[in-house]
Amino acid sequence: MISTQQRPRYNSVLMVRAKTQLNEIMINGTAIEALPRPLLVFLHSGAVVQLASPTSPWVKLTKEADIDLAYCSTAWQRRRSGEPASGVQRSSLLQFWAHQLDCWSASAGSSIEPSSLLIRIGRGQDELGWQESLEVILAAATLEIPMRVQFEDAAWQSLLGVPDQRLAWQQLLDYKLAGIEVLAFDADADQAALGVHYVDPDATRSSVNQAERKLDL
Amino acid sequence: MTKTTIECDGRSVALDADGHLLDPSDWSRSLAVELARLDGVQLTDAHWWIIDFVRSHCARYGTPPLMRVLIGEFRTSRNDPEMSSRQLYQLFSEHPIRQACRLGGYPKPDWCI
Repeated sequence: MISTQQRPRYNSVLMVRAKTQLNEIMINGTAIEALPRPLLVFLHSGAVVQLASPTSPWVKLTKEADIDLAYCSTAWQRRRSGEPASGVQRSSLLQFWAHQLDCWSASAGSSIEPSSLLIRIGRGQDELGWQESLEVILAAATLEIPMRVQFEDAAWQSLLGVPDQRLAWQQLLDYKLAGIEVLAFDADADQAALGVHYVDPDATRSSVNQAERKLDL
Repeated sequence: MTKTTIECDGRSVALDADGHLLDPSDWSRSLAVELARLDGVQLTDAHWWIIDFVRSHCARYGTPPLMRVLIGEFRTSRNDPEMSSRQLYQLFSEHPIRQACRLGGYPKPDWCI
C-alpha cells in the first residue's frame, strides 16, 4: 500500500469492471502486477464482489509495494452489505477520474488535461451494467472531460433493448455531455434524429488517433 | 430503515431515514414547502425552478441532473449568467441536487456523482 498523506500520484491507473481472475487481465500484453508503479487498481461494477474475501488474489494486491486497490462504494453497496476485506480503499468514480487525469497529465509531461477521451463499449450489458457504465461517463462529464462514446453495433443494439436505460443515456446528447457514435454500416434514422452519429466501422478502425485517451467499458 | 412522518394538508406522509418520501406519489407543492420549512429554507422562485428542473430531469431520464447541467440550464432559462455552484449551495446548503431531489419528492440518489 502506498503510504502518503497527500493525494497519491499514480503512474498507472486501471479500472476493472467485470468479475475476472487477476491473472486473466493483460493490458497491452502486460500483467497488472507488471504495470508501472505507483499503480491504482479501481474496481467498479461487478468486479467489486471480488473484494469480499481477504484471500482473494485481488485483495492480496494490497500487500504489494506501490499498489493501491480501491473500489466504488456505490457499486459495492448495490451488491453487498457490510464492508469489503481490509486494506482496500473506499472510493468513488469521481476520485477514479481525478487520479486518471493526474496520471494522464503526468505521462503527457505537462499539467494540461487530455484533449479528448474516447470511451469504447464493445459488448452488450444487463440493465445494471448499462446504468453503471453511464455513471462512469457522467462522472467524467462532471469533471468536464471532453469525450465521445463509441459503441460496437451489437453493444448499441443491446442498449436499445433496454428502453429506460437508452433514455437515460440520451442526457449525454441533450446536454452535450458527450457524443455518441455507433460503428455500423446502416444508420437508424430515428436514433440519428436523436443525435446519434453512425460511422463506418472499417474507416474508423483504420484511423487511430494516438493523442486520444481511451477507456473500454 | 428508520421511518418518520410529516404532517401536511391534513395527512401524514411517510419519510425514510434521510427525509425522502417513501412514496413519490405523495409529493405535492405544499409538501415541498413544509419539507423546506423544516430545513429552515423559504422557497423562492429560484428554488422552485431548481426543484421543478430536477423533477423533470428525473422523470425524463430516470436520474437527477449533473450539477453542471443544472447550472447551465438555469443560466439559460432564467437569463442569469451569474449562477454558479457557489450560488447553488447558498440556495440548497445540504447538497443542491440531493436536497432538490428530497424536496421534489424523489428518492435519495444511490450514486456517488
